[in-house]
Amino acid sequence: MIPTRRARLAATIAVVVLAILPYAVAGRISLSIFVFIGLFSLIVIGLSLLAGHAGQVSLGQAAFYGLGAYIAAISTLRIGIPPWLALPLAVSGAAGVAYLLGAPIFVLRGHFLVLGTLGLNVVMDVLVRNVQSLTGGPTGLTGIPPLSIGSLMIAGDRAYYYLTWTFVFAALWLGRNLVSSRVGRALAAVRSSEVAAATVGINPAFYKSRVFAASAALAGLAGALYVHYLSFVSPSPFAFNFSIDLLVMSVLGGIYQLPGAVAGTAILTVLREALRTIMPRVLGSGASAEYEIVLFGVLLAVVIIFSPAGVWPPLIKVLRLESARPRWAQVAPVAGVLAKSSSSLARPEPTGLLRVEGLRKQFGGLLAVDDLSFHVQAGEIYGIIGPNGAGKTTAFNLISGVLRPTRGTVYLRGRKISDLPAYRRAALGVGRTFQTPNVFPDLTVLENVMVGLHRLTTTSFTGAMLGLGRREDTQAAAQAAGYLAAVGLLDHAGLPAGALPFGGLRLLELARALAMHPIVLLLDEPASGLTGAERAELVRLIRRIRDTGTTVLLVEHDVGLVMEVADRVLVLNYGRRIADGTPRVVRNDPRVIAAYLGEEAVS
Amino acid sequence: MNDASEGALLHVEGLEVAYGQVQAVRGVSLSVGHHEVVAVIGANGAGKTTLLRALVGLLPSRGRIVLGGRPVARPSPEDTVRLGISLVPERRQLFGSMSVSDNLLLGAYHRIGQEPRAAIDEDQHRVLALFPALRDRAASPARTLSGGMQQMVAIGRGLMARPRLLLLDEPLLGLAPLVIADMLRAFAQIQQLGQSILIVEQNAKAVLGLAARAYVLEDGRVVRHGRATTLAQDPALRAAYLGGHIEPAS
Repeated sequence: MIPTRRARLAATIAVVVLAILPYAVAGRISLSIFVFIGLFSLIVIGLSLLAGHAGQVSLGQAAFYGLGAYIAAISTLRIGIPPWLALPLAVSGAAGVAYLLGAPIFVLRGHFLVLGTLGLNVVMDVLVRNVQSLTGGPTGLTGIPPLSIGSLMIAGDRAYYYLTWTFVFAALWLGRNLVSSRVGRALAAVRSSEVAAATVGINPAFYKSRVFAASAALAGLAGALYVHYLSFVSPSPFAFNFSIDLLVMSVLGGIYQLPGAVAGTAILTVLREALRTIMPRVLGSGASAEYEIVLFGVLLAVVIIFSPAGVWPPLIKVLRLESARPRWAQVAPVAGVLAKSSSSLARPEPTGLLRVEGLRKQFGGLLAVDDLSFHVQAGEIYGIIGPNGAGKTTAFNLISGVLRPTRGTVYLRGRKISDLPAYRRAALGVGRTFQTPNVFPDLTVLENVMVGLHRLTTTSFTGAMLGLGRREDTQAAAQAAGYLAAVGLLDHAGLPAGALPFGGLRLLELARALAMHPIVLLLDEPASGLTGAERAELVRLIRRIRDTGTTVLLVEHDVGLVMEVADRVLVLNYGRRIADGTPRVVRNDPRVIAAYLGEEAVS
Repeated sequence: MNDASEGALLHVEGLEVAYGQVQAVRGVSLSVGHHEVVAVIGANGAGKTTLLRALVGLLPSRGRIVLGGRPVARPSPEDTVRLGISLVPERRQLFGSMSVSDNLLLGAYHRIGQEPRAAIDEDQHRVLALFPALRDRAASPARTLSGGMQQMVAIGRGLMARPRLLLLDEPLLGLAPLVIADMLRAFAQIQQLGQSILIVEQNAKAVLGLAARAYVLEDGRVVRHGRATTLAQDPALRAAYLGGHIEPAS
């Protein structure tokens, strides 16, 4: 989204207010609360990137905060490293631990990160309390030197206030760049469907582990700043409870927008301070801690009920700061994206472009695909038909890598691909659509196709954070618009993909797959849900796709369509081949009529 | 109240449904008679699914909905089931990990405790008689069934509510030709048993063969309606909606 002039103005005002705040409140309120809001904001920004944008919930951010704090404390106190060097050490230490912890977890799909990070809190706490020689145990360490650069000593509330908030704004800037980049789109794709992301060539584990490391780096940074600011460290601020507090701040503020992280942190931190002064007066001393938790619980419940996406979206609405139009709305589509011929026609393969040998897939007692062999020539349109449950979609899943075969091999251009993960097969040129369209609903229609261009664009994770991919993004947007024009969806480019009707989702998925420049394109029931006119358009489109040099495999129940476009047809029943050949041969095969077509269909 | 609404099982007048600023259904009026099968056809995004969802109260709407001569004000999905409308949603939406027979039983949820168990069991037998293929799979988790069988379960679940009117949203989507033929036979049987059907379907050829009357929806408006046989001959409609589907059964 493009910020409006009003939004830029609001951001400028926020910066100015924060800049003069120390002078405005001087002598009345201690600045330290604002330093803490800044420190916690850093952690929560990381958490928003991780949980909101990549969809990975962590309960270990307090542990990374503590890790950063102890690395900074130990390296300056015990090893004598200068504080300015301890800071990057703390950041990279926290990031490194996160990366190592994440690597095995992220290979798995699902919410295993929560469990892994839950354990991390416990490990951190036990280590810090027991390795007393290093950490000082429960009492902690004191006398940690403040940050200094050369002879410039950074000490006192005001200095740390400015330093911390500079980092906060830097983090917001880096985070915003990341989110609106090629990498950000990949994260959104991974968040909504890892399977779909992998089939356009995105390695979910790669991005998840990097975001996790980035979030830990921010927490580590906050930890290091904390110890140099306060000059002492003890285990209690990094306990498990604080991980939950951070998550509450993040959800309260709005987990999908980075500035929401700052808002949520500010609300909770200010409220806690206020309660600490008010509660003892109302309820008598000593009562505050428990009631504080009750109140936070109620607050969170109220926010979740009335504004599930946190306080930030309604706040933006009230202040009328919403973006006027989605990004790339005005981009001019590249004409003739489908005219370019890919190399697959230039290099004919003697044994077939795609070769499947003895493929078998067993789900428990059910044999979904049984000893299936076939080969598809370059430039062919190859139809696969058969009754519901015959194994057609399973065959597609085995070819595209969504499933691993129980036995058997898939070769693409003579190269064995059946032992590769889905994202690698996509990178080698296997594109696909799904029977139930699997688009990324939170991204716009155009951005969905831009995700399809992921493999053909190059901006790295770090480059994206620094905002280096803008030019490439603009080109990608124009390309993507070209594919949308080819499938007839260009008018809807700026809509959230989730708002498209069923048939539109199919076409969008097709455009996304085409954007990958696939060598082989697997279409799973592309005509289902399309009306007559749309179907006729699809037939033209499939032929055009083939003419660009892409080989097409087509699973479809619209037998008329298959017979019309396919060069050869394979018929499956109970996971096995019962017939194959030209449409005419297959259509008149008595076994096919009995198992699938029915007598009436043959005219 | 005019004659049409008195005679019809369902009478809808001036129905409007909007998603925020986007108007999806604009002043749709239609009726379904007793024992009648009525089809709604139209392009993607024409508002067909929205119309059905509004009729059962899954989406808020404005306009008049009269069922069996009685106006239905602000229907909630639970109320409409009780009043006798049951929706078989797009893409089946079964309870995947539950058995076929539990899925069916949940269709009769509002009847449990209100009616003798025997009546519910009897309806389950009726569903299994209508879809004999489900008999052997009654104990299997619904998600392990093939697409065709899952559609049968979805329709069966709808029937278990004992509706006067069954709303079918794209029931033929992704089904093999043989299964489509079975399905069309089942719909005819449901009609013979005394229930009315309002069917939304892309496979216009198949439903125009089944329905007595049809409505054509475009951009949320009814642009044409009439006898199905007449509409099936209309050259403009033939071009837009009847392009080349194989007709599985006559």
